[in-house]
Amino acid sequence: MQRDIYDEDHEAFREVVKEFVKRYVTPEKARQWDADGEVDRATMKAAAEHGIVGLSVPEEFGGAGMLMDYRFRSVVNEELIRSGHGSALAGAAGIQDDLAVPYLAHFGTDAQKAKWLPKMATAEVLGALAMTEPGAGSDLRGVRTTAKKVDGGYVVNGAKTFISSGKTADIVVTFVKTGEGNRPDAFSLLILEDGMEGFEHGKKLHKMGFPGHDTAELSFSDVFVPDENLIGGVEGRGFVHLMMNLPLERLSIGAVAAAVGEAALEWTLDYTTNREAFGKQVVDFQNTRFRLAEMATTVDVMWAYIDRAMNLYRKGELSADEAAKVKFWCTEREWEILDQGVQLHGGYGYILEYPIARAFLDARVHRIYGGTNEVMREIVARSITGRK
Amino acid sequence: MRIVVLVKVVPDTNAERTLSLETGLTERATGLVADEIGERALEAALTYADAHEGTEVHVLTVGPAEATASIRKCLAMGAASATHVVDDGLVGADLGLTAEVVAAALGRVGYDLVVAGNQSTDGMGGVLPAMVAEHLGLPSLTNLAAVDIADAEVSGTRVADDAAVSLSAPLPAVVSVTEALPDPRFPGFKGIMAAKKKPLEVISLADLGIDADDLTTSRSIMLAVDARPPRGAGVKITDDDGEAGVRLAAFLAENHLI
Ligand SMILES: Cc1cc2nc3c(=O)[nH]c(=O)nc-3n(C[C@H](O)[C@H](O)[C@H](O)COP(=O)(O)OP(=O)(O)OC[C@H]3O[C@@H](n4cnc5c(N)ncnc54)[C@H](O)[C@@H]3O)c2cc1C
Ligand SMILES: Cc1cc2nc3c(=O)[nH]c(=O)nc-3n(C[C@H](O)[C@H](O)[C@H](O)COP(=O)(O)OP(=O)(O)OC[C@H]3O[C@@H](n4cnc5c(N)ncnc54)[C@H](O)[C@@H]3O)c2cc1C
Repeated sequence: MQRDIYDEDHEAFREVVKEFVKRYVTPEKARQWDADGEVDRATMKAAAEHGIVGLSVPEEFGGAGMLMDYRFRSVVNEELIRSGHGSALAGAAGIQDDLAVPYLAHFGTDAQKAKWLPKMATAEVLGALAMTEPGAGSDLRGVRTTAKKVDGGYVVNGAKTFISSGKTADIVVTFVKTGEGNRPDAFSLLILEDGMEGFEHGKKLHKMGFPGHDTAELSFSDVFVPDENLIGGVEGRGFVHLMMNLPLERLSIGAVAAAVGEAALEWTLDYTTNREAFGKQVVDFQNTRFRLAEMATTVDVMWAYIDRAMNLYRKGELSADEAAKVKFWCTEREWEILDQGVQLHGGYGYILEYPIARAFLDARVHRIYGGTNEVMREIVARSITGRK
Repeated sequence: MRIVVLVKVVPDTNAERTLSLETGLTERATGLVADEIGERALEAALTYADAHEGTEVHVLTVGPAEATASIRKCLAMGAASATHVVDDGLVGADLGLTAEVVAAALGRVGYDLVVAGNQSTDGMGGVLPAMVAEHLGLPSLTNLAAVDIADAEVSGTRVADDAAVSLSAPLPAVVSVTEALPDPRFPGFKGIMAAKKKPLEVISLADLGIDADDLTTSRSIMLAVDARPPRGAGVKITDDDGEAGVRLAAFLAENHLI
């Protein structure tokens, strides 16, 4: 179905991303990222030069100023993912623009913005967001990383885990306890800088998918963090800040899911058209035709839903529970499409040389991170029943 | 200095291109792109402009109305302004008419140096730059594999089968470049946004005072157009007696392929 949320600027930008993919996102590059477990900084910087990374940085700090408009970001997702080699880069770009930059751009003090955002626009500084801990994921208010007030700053102790871009990031927006108990105002966000004494990266985590994008454990022992690194400069706002950026984080996962679904359909259509069995092309079996028809329809409905959510987001009207619906629903449709795509590829669908196999493994985490799909259902249920 | 780059907008080279048997023109509905050789010419101009303040790069295109997006891309890459000549009278224009139009538009725009591609990917005439130079009475350095622009002079190398020829001419001049030139840059987000604010003048034949139907000038007129005949089935050599290799060699020799 024809989508109608893009204008000629988005289409011109799509050509830019396609050209970038052609020149920088080669199969060799993707293999390198997989081997290194991370996207190289030179590629991130090249992407930033073309505005592919840094889209959400405000214009006055050298970015594209698209913090409140997800359309250009979605174009980036769509083209990187479609290529079959760009999922690691899409992930790294997403962490920068959807998870790290917004905390500075929305809630940072003028000094914090001036210090970090210009460098984030060029990818000279990469960010990450650390909430999850070994003992607390869904139950965020159960985190145990503490920041004790001392003269001129805080002393941080604790550990985080599963932090996307956690190894490559220069700054980590870290969710810490600055107060007693688990009331919302007991938490703050601190900027931890790579190289601060006592801030260590733990072992590399071997994941099922996304081999080319780093996910790290972080540990903090008596890390001194100066006052100037308290996001917004006011203690006790951390939980509220997280809640305020959740709609974007969930919209972004949903939008990636739709982009993956669309790519999976294209790969599968292409594969079944070129594969023969029993003297005919696989695409001509009625089962294949029916499954492809279902996949195509699902992709259309996903986009209709995502496009609507993107429009609401632009108006500042995408609520946390609407975003939760988008996140769980789209990632589950994505999963079904990929499963079907793998099936229609036969044995080749299980071989990692084929993008469908990689996408299948990558996608499994979409139902887990950004809030698990169970938690998303809880949020939606709460919004319709009014009960906790 | 003002450098004008001639960029032809052509049917997408990655998409399937078909010839309309009615008009003899390439169907242009499938999407148009700035010809890659034109982008290379633009790159040469922009590289010079980047290093020499006060240099202005202008893009000139003669092509259908749908060419706008491709011209905007050239502006997004870094050209300062553009002129687009579009007119129904130019549909199917031959080299002679196109050269006349380009020369007239150049006169209107003003130039110190004109940079073109050596040959377009669709028309492939390969002579437009020389024809334009002739109209303007300018020196013409064609098929340059390397270009060196200076204040008052342009020079370069033309690589022939058995020699490399060094050429130079005082400005103003017309040069055409080959695929040996460096890959063109591609724009980014900011370039796209900046391009929207750059001047793009659209002019018609009337603005240039040219009459496309003026029969006192000689024009090439297409009389007939035919599709290329479909390929024959070809020869299949199967190995049922162990002698296929010999037959294959004989076939290749017969056709002077070995
Ligand atoms: C590849 C990857 C990247 C990640 N990137 C980041 C990152 O950049 N930053 C970050 O902070 N975190 C990140 N995470 C962490 C991720 O967000 C958490 O893993 C997720 O929120 C779940 O937390 P948990 O692992 O502690 O699971 P748990 O909270 O222990 O959940 C275990 C199970 O219990 C279920 N459950 C929990 N509570 C309820 C409930 N109330 N009702 C019903 N079921 C419930 C869950 O749905 C799940 O099925 C990442 C994780 C992975 C795998
Ligand atoms: C409405 C309209 C429809 C047209 N339809 C067609 C068509 O169907 N097929 C077709 O081939 N041409 C078409 N043209 C363009 C024009 O007729 C041809 O460009 C012209 O005949 C040049 O031939 P060539 O491509 O063989 O030139 P070449 O000599 O091969 O070109 C060499 C170089 O000259 C420059 N150049 C050539 N043509 C142009 C141009 N038009 N604008 C700017 N720079 C140029 C470029 O730098 C190019 O690399 C159309 C033009 C208009 C206005």
